[in-house]
Amino acid sequence: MFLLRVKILIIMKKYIAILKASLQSVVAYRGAAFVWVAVQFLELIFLLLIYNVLFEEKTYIGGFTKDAMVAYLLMMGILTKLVLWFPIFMIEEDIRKGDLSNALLKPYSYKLYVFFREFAWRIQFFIISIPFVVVYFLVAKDSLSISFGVLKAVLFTVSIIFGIATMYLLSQLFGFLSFWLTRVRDFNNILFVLINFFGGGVIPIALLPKGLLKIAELLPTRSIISLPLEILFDRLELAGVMKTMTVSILWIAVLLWVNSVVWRRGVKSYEAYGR
Amino acid sequence: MDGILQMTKYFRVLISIAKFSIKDDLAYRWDFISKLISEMSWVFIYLAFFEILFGYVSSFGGWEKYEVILLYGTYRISQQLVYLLSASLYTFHRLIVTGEFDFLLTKPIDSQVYSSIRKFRSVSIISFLANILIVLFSIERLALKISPFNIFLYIILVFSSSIILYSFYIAAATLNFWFTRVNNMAFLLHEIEAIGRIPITSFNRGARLLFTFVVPLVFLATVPAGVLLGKKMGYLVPMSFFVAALVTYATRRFWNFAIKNYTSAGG
Repeated sequence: MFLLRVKILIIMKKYIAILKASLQSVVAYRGAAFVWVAVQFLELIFLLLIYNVLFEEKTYIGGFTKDAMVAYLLMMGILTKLVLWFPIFMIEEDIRKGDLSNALLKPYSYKLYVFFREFAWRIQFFIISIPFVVVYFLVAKDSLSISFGVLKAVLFTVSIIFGIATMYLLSQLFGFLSFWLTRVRDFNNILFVLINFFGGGVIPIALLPKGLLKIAELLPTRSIISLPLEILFDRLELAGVMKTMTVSILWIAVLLWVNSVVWRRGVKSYEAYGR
Repeated sequence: MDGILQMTKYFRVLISIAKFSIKDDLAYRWDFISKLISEMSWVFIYLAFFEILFGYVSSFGGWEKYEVILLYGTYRISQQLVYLLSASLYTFHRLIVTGEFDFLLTKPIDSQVYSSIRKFRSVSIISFLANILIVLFSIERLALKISPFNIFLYIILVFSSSIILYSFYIAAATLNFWFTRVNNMAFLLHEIEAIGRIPITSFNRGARLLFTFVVPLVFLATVPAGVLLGKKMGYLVPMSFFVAALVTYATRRFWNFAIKNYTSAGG
């Protein structure tokens, strides 16, 4: 048991070192990170402008009042800072430039290496997002009326973890397609379309017509943004939450397996010149 | 005469770049297909978004469903015209960071023109045509009878809005001379100009003033679409041409200022 603990500590030390080095490196790109956060802020402004016009026509839209919609959008804006991870870009670059060759020779898992590098970016994004999040809360404080109990807090936290896991695995999977395709970032755009449309990113899924709602309930993208918000705003009964979380767990299991298969096949077929 | 010769030269360069870019895109067929799917999926999401919202409301600030879709198609036509010819501005920062811009300056062609047209985005041809179909479909759904004069005015207003949009992108690219590590200014700009894809005239007074006189997004799609739909656009029509001329002049001066102060990656 003691030896196992020592082994785990030694392994974690490697990845903590990667995280520290990555944090130092991403700080050099804080300007670019600020712009990305500003881009997300503007996306939110765009949605608020649209819904503001719509609520001048109607008091209720799909069961949402204007205040409820504002609260939903602002919490969605905060949530996206936590759950949207993009290992696809790092993996695509490593494979395209041949840096993967060096990484495969190192005494650590490439997948964990990417994870901790991406984690460093997320930490930076989160810190830069703080002023924007403060603005969101100041704008939404009158619209926000969220009740929090222990069970809800646990379910909300677990749903965010599921959301991060699903997003990460999907993005990683598309990144691994770089073994066969020269350009995979367009798949990231397609993933965004699915998240925005079927995952509650642009329109709460409760507003979708019945047929599209059924599709949204089966796709993994629901657990990324929509499920945590549905829990937060009590838009799902407990049975519904459990059912959706079960679907989410199944998707995470499938994605883990598919990622593993694609990675093994990809590494087998991988060739690099001059290294 | 010199001006005509210059334009002919630029046109020949553009044709050569276009031929090469199209061959390059078709050589990597799966990349081309994934780009096309990505492009069309964004069109799908916005059309589906408005389709769903119009299931709950009958108008968007006085604009009916197909009027909003026509406006969106108009915005995308302007946008795709700019992307077709100037998509390389998205990666302009790489020229500065790697020092390749130094070689670009030695070419016998205007640096701003060449920086803009380095890569021809062939997928935008399909997107451009698809959005024309969206506009035509909306016209058919609205059973519009449009005068030839309004059609002509619409076309030149779309060109005017493309010039305004191009000026925004060249201004963002010019900032890369100073902010070399900020490689995503064009994405920030894209988010700002994307507000132009909804009817600006449906906003409250403050937002209308902001997007008319400060950030001139109203000219991107609202004015051309409004003209085609027979809505009263008044002074906004001549103002569109004035704004296009003004931003072209201002961004050109800005570019020349940046070139004068450019010290190269090794300098």
